[in-house]
Amino acid sequence: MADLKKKVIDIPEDILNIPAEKFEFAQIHNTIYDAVPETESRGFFKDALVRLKKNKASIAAFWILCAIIVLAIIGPSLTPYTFSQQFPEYVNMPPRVPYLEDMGIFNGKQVLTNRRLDSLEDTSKFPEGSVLGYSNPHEVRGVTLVDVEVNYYKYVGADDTYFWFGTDGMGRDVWTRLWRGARVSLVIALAAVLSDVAIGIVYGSVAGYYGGKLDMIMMRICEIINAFPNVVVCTLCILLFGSGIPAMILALMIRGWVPTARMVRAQFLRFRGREYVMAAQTMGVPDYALIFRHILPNSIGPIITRTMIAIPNAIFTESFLAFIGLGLAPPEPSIGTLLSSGQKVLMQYPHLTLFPALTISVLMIAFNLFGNGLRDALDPTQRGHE
Amino acid sequence: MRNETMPLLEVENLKMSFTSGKRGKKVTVNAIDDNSFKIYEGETFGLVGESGCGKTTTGRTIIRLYNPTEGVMRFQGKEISGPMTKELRHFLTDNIAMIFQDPIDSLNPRMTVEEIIGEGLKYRGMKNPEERREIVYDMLNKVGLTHEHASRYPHEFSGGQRQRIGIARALVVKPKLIIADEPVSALDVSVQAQVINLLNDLKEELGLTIMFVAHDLSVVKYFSTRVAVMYYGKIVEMAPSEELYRHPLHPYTRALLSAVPQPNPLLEKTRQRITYDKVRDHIEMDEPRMMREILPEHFVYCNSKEFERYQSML
Amino acid sequence: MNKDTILSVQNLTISFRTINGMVRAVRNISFDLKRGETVAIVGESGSGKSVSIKAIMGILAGNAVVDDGQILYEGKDLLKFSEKEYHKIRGSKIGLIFQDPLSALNPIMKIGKQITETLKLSHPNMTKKEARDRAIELMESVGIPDAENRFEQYPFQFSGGMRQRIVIAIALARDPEVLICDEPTTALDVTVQAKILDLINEIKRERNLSVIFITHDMGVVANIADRINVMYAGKIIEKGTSEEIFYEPAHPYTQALLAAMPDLETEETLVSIPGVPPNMIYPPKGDAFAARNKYALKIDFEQEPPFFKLSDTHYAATWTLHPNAPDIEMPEVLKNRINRMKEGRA
Repeated sequence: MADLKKKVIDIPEDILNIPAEKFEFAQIHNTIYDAVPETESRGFFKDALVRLKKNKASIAAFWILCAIIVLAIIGPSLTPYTFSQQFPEYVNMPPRVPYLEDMGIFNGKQVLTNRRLDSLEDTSKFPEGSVLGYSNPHEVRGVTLVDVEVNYYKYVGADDTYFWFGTDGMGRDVWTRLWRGARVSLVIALAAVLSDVAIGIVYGSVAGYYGGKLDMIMMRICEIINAFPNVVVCTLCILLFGSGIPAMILALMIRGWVPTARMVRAQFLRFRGREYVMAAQTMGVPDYALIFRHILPNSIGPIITRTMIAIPNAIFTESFLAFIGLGLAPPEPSIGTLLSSGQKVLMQYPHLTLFPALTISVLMIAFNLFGNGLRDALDPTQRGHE
Repeated sequence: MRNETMPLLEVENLKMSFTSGKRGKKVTVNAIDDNSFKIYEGETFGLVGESGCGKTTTGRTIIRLYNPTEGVMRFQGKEISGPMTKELRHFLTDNIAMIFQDPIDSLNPRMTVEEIIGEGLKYRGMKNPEERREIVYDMLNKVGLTHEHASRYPHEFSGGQRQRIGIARALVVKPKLIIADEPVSALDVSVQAQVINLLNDLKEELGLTIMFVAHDLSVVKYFSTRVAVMYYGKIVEMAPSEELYRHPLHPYTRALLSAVPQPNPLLEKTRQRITYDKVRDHIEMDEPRMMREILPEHFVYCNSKEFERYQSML
Repeated sequence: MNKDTILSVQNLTISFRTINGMVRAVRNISFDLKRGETVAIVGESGSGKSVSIKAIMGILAGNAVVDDGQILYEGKDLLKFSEKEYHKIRGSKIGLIFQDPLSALNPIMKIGKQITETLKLSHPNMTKKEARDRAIELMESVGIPDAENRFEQYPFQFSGGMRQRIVIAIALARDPEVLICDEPTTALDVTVQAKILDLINEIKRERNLSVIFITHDMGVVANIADRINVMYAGKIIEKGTSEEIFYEPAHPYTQALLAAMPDLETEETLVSIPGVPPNMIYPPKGDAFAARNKYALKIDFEQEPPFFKLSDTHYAATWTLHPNAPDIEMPEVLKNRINRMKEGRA
């Protein structure tokens, strides 16, 4: 180094004048250890949570889901009615909500067509204050007919009653039935998906971990099960076990676990050849620990994501079955049965379809958005990144 | 004199083939093609070759991640190539440990450093976590890390640090033989020396025997006492490392040596490379090739005509 | 700016936004590339070498912020270019060769087509026949045997070295003036690496290309570089001709880097660099390498060293070159090797 120092040329004055005591060794007697990272140690889920929180759409979806679930739990008990209580005198009532009615929405408004114009004054037919206006006057055989817009609650003489989402053709409160239905749909979907995942994980793990002939046989069984059309399987199941909630869960489960099993198997095949799994193997780690400590925890991300995406699918399938007449036996509602009965009178009483349709749409979108957010957050390639 | 002592590991006519494709169109690839070698206690045996030559497969077959197709392997005289039993796995884990190539892939991202290093102890009957922790901390110090690193996850470490964690994991169970499968080839050059020196120190301190698998001839030559050169599943030359460097005989070894980059610009800019041509560089004859000892301890894979040619080159 | 300078990076400073804070990836680096020369940038991963060339290519990640500096190409600042303007330069003026040839090629397109498509970007009027002939010519020039037949093959039918040759052929298809090689041989075997390095040297000479060569391996650089910039912690800490860097390394980090790698004759203990590179969210004061240097001086922790000039081409940013600094011996393994090399030269 001494030779090199002699070669240095053109040192600026201020640099040259740095005092000599600055040039003493600072750490010649110390052993240099690796610095501990300054950043906080974060586990996998904590890390994922940080990333999930950055995804605004997912967080919004999460809160919407929470709201729907809370409503599904407490919604029915917010009204004085039960889901099966019938009010024959209050059939097909339009929606009416206190306070909101003053703003011109949810005010129990209904249009009655082709009423005699002169009968509007008749308080026995149209109680006082029930008529809000009329339109489309036309004459039929010398009598003037009009379409009358009425406050239906006053019209039927129930001014102090409120059915928030109206009533159906049998006089049952739609709000109570909707949230009861949402609860039933969610329970069916959740139960079906959880059992799917449980079966799928075990089945897929075994097939993926042991591989070879066993894997081949197990996967062929999956293919056979998958070859039956869903509708056929569900129909048979419901024919066999009746149309209760357990039968619905079973119907959704029979084929539902196959994709999960395949996914878990694929994960196992992917992680089976990883060096850390081999390393554990050479350390004498037994099979169960390899599966549950080394492979499964690393594939938990895709499994959670699949679960989140499978729930709206199950809800949709349940609704679809109900829609084609394979739903729960009345009076038990589900979103599907509500939609199915609502669409028959869609033109006359759109509120019977509107609310369940909105609920299922929001539910599906929210589940999918949240599921996507989770997938991104749990992606191990994203660790430690923004 | 070395031949008198019993080898730690003996590999005889090891063959390993992978079959793929369906009936009729079956393709068999000989990943290891009838190799024999011995590893003696206290030495570092280097196995060098290019990617796909079967060097990694050899290491993995010895520790029985793969089952050998043919051949016998013995560790301290006990056969380890038979069917896998619980007892054999225990014997293997007690005596042989492996260091893996990929510093990212070889550590479970969901476990802390302490769990990773302590796992081998845990499944070997050391159930007391306190006792384990003590040993893990001690091991961390040995590889230049501190106990503060123990609660961290692998992704918080650099490549060199991860590789040192991998070394700690392999050594914590006190094996006799370490199979180091390209432990430095995925690392920056600046970190390679750290890992190599660490392995050297630990080898002295713990009395290890190391089988060092790598593709970088300068590292292998520096680190190993004896070197075997592998080409397409076959060991073509085997000699003490200094001897191999002074008298490379097999044309493939010579090609490999001439391709090693040297930190010497004036030499590099005028250097002539030797290329290996399987047809041009060999003399074909009916007699099959075999490993022949051309100098003491120096073996070349050749037939008798080639043997004569190699002798004349000495 | 000098007339032969084709590309000039000045005071380039780049940071990345991350979850934990701003990572100062590149800190105030400057270097020039002259026509027909090869400049190597050597540094370990995280030293900022790849980031700087991504900035030159205009392909920085979304969370990157260019805090300061200029990248002058023929006098124009590339950092001020719009994406559209960049399109005219990227590929046609400045070509790039990646580390992993497999990911740089489209796996489901015949390689002939991949080359001709690139050709057509620069020569829209070229006929099919012309493009084919030109592509085959290119393939031959990068040493792909039997180019006629291999024209119709897919990337998976090629070995790693052959794939890298195709990537080079594609990069050359548009006749760039500057070729940037980002660790082009790291994924390859030693014998293949040697051939690819020879190829890069050859095409550089034939086409009078200017090459920027990024690597972490000093050994590779000896063969190929005219000038070398050594980077550490986002800064260039030493620059010089390759003879100067290899025979008279001045910065402790350059010395450590050279002493950390064995050559075929090394028998001394290698120098292992203790510790890890600094976390660039909190870049250290003074000399960034000081924390890992046993012989660090007090001033190393207080004040950033300026470039000390050793010759017109050789500069090193280290306080050890200050006249007041104590004499520090080079690591033994390096000293012996340099002596050996000098003897060999004489």
